[in-house]
Amino acid sequence: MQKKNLSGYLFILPIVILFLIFIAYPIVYSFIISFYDWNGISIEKEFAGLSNYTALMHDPIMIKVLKNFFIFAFSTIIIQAILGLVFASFFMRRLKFSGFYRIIFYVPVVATPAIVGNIFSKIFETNRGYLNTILRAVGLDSLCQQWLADPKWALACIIFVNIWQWTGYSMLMYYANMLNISDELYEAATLDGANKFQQFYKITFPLLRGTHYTLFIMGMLGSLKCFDLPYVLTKGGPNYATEFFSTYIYKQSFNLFKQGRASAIVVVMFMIAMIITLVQLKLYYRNDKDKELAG
Amino acid sequence: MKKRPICLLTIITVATITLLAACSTSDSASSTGETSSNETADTEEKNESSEEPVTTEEPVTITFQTWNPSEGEALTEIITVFEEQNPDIKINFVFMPYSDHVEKLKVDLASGQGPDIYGMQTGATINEFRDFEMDLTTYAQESWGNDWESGFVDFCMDLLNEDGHYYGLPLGLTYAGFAWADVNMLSEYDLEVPKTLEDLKYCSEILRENGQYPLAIGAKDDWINIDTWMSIANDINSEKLYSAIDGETSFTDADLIESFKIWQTLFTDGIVQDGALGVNVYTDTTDLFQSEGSIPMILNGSWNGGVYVSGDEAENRVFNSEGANHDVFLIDWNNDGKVNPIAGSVDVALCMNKDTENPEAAWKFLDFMLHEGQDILVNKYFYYCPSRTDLELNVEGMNEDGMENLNYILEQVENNLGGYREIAYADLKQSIADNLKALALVEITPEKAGEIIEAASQLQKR
Repeated sequence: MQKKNLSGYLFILPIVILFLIFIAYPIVYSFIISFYDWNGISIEKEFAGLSNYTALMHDPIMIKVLKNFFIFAFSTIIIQAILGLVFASFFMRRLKFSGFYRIIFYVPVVATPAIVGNIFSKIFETNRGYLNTILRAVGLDSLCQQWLADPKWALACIIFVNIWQWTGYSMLMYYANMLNISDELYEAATLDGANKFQQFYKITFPLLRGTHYTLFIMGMLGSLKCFDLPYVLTKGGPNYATEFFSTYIYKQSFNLFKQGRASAIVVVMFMIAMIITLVQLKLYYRNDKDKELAG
Repeated sequence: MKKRPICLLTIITVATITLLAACSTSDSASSTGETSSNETADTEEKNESSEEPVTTEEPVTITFQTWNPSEGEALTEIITVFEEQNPDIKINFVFMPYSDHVEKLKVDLASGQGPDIYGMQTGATINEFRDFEMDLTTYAQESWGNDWESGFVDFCMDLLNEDGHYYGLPLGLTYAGFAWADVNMLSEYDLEVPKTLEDLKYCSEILRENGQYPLAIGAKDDWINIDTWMSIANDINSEKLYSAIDGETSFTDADLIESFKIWQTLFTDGIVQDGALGVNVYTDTTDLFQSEGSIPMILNGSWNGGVYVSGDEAENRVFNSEGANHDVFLIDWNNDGKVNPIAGSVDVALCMNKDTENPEAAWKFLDFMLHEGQDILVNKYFYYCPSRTDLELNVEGMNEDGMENLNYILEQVENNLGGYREIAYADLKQSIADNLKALALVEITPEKAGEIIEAASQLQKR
């Protein structure tokens, strides 16, 4: 019996080794480094206790980073989910050329964020950008803005581009899961006199619960890691108006050579990711018999 | 039966270990997509060092990594000439954009796989990498004699001197604080190249009225903001500027507050273009000025003169076509009758990896880069102004307009150098950059900016 158990463990050994080297070690190392004053280059590191964390607590930019994260996460997740649901519902009705439209909607997902950012920076440019040029051409000069240069608009622009890029993904997830809902449920509901809205509200939406949670978790984690779009479009500016965890970590590490401080931000980011995931898993499994995953 | 899973397990484990071993032994060249011949050369080179006596005459490979000069005709020419003169040394050139270059160096140097020679920015960066930089002082003395320092421009040696030791040597110099104008475009609107802040304001008004860009700045980049503010502060009071950077004068001093006020007026009075904080210098504004020739004025340094000989078709059309006329100019920001002094910097310093296995060959290449290499980079492609005192600026193929601008730059270098360009204190520099943006957005007053920067200056370790 013991031998059998042992061979079981041996089977998972390779993946455990890979996990320890490529996932656990960097996390633990970041955690250790967060207690040091280190430039990320020198051989010597100076133990700094909790000073990196104390500095973060007093750093006004961290407040902006947290605020931007929550605004970005909730607005992108909710709008993408609504648009994804709407488009998926349209495509379920077997419209003409729906396959073609699905592909078109999904194309931005596979585009490189850096290239998307570059294209949109041309669109949002104040003086000769396409957006303001079009607005002027149709006589809507008053709507022209300094899109990426104005702190009031810069974050909205990044949110817009992110929604443009990822709505296709939400749409596809919802579409794939809508296909799994049995037609019999809709037939029974029709016989019971339920209209289309009631069918959507009482059948489709609840049965897509798994997709809602998946998109929510992925959206939150994606927002935490968000780097490419803000970096290319605004470099986190103007004046930190679009600063995110990743862009701030990058600046601390590579512009200011504060690897210890950057690692402390990584740890904070990691803790937020853990809390979000735990809360969501708890909510997801709260009504299920299988509660093991939720702990 | 029980043996099967164990066999399978053994195979998986061996495969995993092999995979990991393969990862750990790959060298920096292979990870950057270098040719297999280089990898072979490296392997053989390592074998050479482990076997005694040396039995092979395979060339030594020196890896040179930098973001500047970029890959292209100039570097290809330099490497070809060097390899012809030194058949026993092969150069493996690795070009990286600046941020990737620093990122890769951090990892490669720490793991003992760093390049033999690498480019460094002066200021904070070169200091941070000190643990991996060879002291080049002895090499320089042995190769060029005890008086070798006099062979380089004084101010750049001051920048690189660390208590009599040199860990990087200057490949070329650049000067900031300039603006460039398309004279023909300005004259279309009956305007001349501005000389004072008032002129600049007037020019911008007229240009805006005609739907044209005023003075263009890529203010998303901190470096151009700092360059421009330093040119203003230099014009008002050079001594106070540099003594404030060194922590000896307060940033709340009236002259420095005045410099913040002038900086803010560039944005509040419409002197620079709308949305300036949303665009980079490269290539958002440079494309418009250099490649399209569609805007009249831009803030950029002496290096912009390279457009005359860049070989780029679009730039060639804008700068070398019949009648093209561009001026590099300085501004009298505070209306005292004198234009702003310029700020100089070592554009790129070459460092040698402390752990290089081939210091002699690496030095030979570094020496070549500072001499024949610099000759080519300066006088054929105008990447930089010379860092050597014996190198005369005489750029091949530069037209008359370009030479006039170059002479103007040299005249300013000779008579109107305010001080250094690169602020060596990372936190202070970041605070200045942040507050310049806050001023541009009118989120703070110049007085408040002075107070915040002064607070950062007092916390700065020097």
